[in-house]
Amino acid sequence: MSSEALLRIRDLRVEFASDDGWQRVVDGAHLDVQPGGARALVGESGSGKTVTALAAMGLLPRRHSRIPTGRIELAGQNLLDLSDRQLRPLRGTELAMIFQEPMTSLNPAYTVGEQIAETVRVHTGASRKDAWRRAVEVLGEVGIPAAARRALEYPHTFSGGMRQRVMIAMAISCRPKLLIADEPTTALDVTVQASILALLRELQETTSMAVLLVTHDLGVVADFCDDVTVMYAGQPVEEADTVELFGSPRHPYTSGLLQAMPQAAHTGLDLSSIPGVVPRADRMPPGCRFHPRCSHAQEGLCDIAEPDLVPVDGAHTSRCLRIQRGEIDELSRTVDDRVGAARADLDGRTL
Amino acid sequence: MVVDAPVPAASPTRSPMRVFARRVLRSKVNLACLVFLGLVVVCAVFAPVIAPFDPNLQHLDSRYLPPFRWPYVFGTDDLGRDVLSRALLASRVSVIAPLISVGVALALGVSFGLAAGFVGGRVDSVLGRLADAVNSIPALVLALAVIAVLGPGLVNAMLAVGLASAPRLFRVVRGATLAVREETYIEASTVVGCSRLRTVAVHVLPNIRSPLLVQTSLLMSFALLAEASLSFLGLGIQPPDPSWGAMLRTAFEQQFLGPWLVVVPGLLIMCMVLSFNLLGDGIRDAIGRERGTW
Amino acid sequence: MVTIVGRRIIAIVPVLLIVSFLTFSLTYLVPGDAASVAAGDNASAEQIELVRRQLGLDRPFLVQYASWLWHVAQGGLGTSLLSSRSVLTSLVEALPVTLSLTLLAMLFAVVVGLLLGILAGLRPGSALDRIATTVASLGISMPSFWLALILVNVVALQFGLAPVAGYISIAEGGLTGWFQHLLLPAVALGTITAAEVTRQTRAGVVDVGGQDYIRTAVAKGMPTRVVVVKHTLKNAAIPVVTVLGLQFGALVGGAIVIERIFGLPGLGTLAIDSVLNQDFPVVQGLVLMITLFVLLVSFLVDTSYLYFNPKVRQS
Repeated sequence: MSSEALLRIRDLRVEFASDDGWQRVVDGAHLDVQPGGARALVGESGSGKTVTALAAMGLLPRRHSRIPTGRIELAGQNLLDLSDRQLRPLRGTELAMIFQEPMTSLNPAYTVGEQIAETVRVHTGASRKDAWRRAVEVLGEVGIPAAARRALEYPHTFSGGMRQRVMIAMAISCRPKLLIADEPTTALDVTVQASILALLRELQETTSMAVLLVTHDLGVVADFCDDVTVMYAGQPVEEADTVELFGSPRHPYTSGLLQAMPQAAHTGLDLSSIPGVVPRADRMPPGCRFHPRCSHAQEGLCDIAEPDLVPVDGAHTSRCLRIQRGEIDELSRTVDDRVGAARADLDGRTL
Repeated sequence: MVVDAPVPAASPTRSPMRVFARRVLRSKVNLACLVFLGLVVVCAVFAPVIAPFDPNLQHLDSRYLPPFRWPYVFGTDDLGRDVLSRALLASRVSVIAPLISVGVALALGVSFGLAAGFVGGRVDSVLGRLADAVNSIPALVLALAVIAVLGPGLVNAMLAVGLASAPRLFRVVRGATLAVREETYIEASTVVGCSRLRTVAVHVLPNIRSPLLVQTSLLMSFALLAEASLSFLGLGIQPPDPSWGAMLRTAFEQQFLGPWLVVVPGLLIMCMVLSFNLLGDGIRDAIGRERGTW
Repeated sequence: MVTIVGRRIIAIVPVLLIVSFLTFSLTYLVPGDAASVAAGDNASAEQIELVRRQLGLDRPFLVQYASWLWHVAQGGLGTSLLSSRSVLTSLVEALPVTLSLTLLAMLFAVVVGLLLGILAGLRPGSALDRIATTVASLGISMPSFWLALILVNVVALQFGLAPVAGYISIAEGGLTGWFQHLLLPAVALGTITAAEVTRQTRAGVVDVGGQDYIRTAVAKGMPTRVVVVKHTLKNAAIPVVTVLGLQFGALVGGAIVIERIFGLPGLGTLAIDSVLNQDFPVVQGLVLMITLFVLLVSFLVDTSYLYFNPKVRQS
């Protein structure tokens, strides 16, 4: 796609310590986020998407994890070469992150204003007064009513959705170039989910901040993101721009995810889900990691040969041998309807 | 009591106890503590047989002998008494004294706790205040006050320590009783005509066996420290009877002539207190696991 | 918030009343006769009666209690049977020694305990953690007066690095002299508490370190110092403060023995003398004063929760 990516992750491997030695939970993660763009990182739980995001922030547990190979470049600089000390000033200013659990992600012992203001103070050296003013300002930007008063209150007086807004305010307080949002709406009520997504989309558009959205919900992706990377069992299996991916998925896993979307039900299609679960890191099947769950898997091929992620249609890449060989053409029909349905559904919720 | 946890009689009704005992014994630390405490009990019982000398016999020609001078393995004190023999005999006090205190604490704590939790209302609040009050007087200070009235002596001292420890048990028992009282089967057995207090006691006590065991273990260690402190001050055991605390008193008085006298009794106190503490922690962990598997 | 604090203060009153009642009742449990003790060994029956009436011991129990309480409330703790001095004067003389000792011991415990606990809790499972945990287990089980004897033996007698015994007030010896004389006693007394604080701090830091909001603090670029001191410690503080409060009573009890070893003229020394001589007015005064301090400390601990846990402020 375009020339200079803001975030470039190449061949990232992450291993976690277990009783039986190191387990590779991310095996060759690969993605780009363009400046001001929105990239979705999609997969079921256990696919390695959150670990990839945490690795980009340098937030993996130090004692129990390691990164044997890979590059995580932010504006050309490999973050993996940086010490914790060198990484610290980048967190919050260049790249920021919000998490799945807004209920527990704020420190219960300090007011929300203080938690935002301290971020501003540490990064900009602003005075207490100026930092506080900025905190109130961003709380207003994320749609917290009576921000000046609410800034003085403690997290336990906020609802889940409001806490996620506070988290977002904290994350954008120093105007980062990239926001990593890890399942930002999963823990929230459906009605609140839509408003948080609308807020993120609005912030991305108005501040030209790039967003890496980590999610298992393709409905969210359709509404929000320009590009999608689908991960399965620690590996990216498909990558394309959103319309392309929804229109003609080039991996059976993506197709399965699309058919599992609740919105598909509105169009009269079966609400199917993919049988089975993501394999554990220590029990990866030989060949294609998806083949035990794949309805298109071919004996003697998919259970033996390990596929690579290769372009199948322009910039559209896929990790499916049978697609690469041209043995499967159509993975699913009427996907445009599905995108349309998803968009309509989301807009309905937003309103 | 202290060391009876392993190998209860094989009968189907006691199987939860056996499961619990096995959990406690799975930890090597717990096992080591029980072995050490068992050794102390053995020493206490057989002290006169094992001890190489009469613990009160004065060898005036061999005073202030440092350790490892045959036949005085741990040396002799200011009166030429054999330190090893005295330490062995003193283990009796270390077994009996905490038993007195914990016995008093259990008797007071359990009965008042049951009463407060069961009767509730005014009785509960009065007993609760009383426990608060006793609890706010430091145990050693309360012991001193009681000794001021009853006079110095091991039994008096340990009664006082037991009294001071009772509020902790009171709270455990009261809480559990309150919880059990809410259960419906209590009402059912009341309808049947059982004595209500007896019903509660029968239902409450098995439920709080584990926390009670933890508290008992910790109270034993506390009582042992208190005995040592009071005997050190001359308010507990009276000369010439030895206790580890009283031996430290001698060591203190003779610190210029026999500085090594401080080592053996202090180490013994520490090991025994450590055993009770670790055992208490171990039982707590075992209960945690018990809960976890349910 | 003011009402919460007020309610806590009011809750102290009944406890103090019960303690005062128990304390007063003590004299009635004495096997002997307080009047004959007070009158001395060779007193005649008439002299004893006279003393009895002078001391008001002939009135009904509750009347005596009420009048005693009335005096106590005004600071009148009576006179020592032994020295005929005012009990309050003796207590006030001895109090600074014990308070100095106890507070220094607590300071030692907090500094050492927090430091060890944080270092251990930040790297659970590391060699440092295992050492700190083991030392804490030993420290909790070590009789403070045994440690005191060893310290006297080694530090004072063998190396002469500190005075063997005695007390010098700040007024007499300045801060240095005062500190030198209290250093060994405070270390000996504070070790158990330091071990408890270490355990609680370690547990708290481990627990809080795994919380999502700590990850948030790291993610927004807070320096390690801020993450640990500001975000972790305030949340880990409540159990630590609770332990400190509970330990205060134990420290005062331990101080009695420590004072004896180091020849410090504090409440403990006063207590042992008066217990051995059945000097009940002094014993009563001691129990009341010490209990008052214990209640005061537990009130401070309760109040500190308002600072550490914002949720408490609302309930």
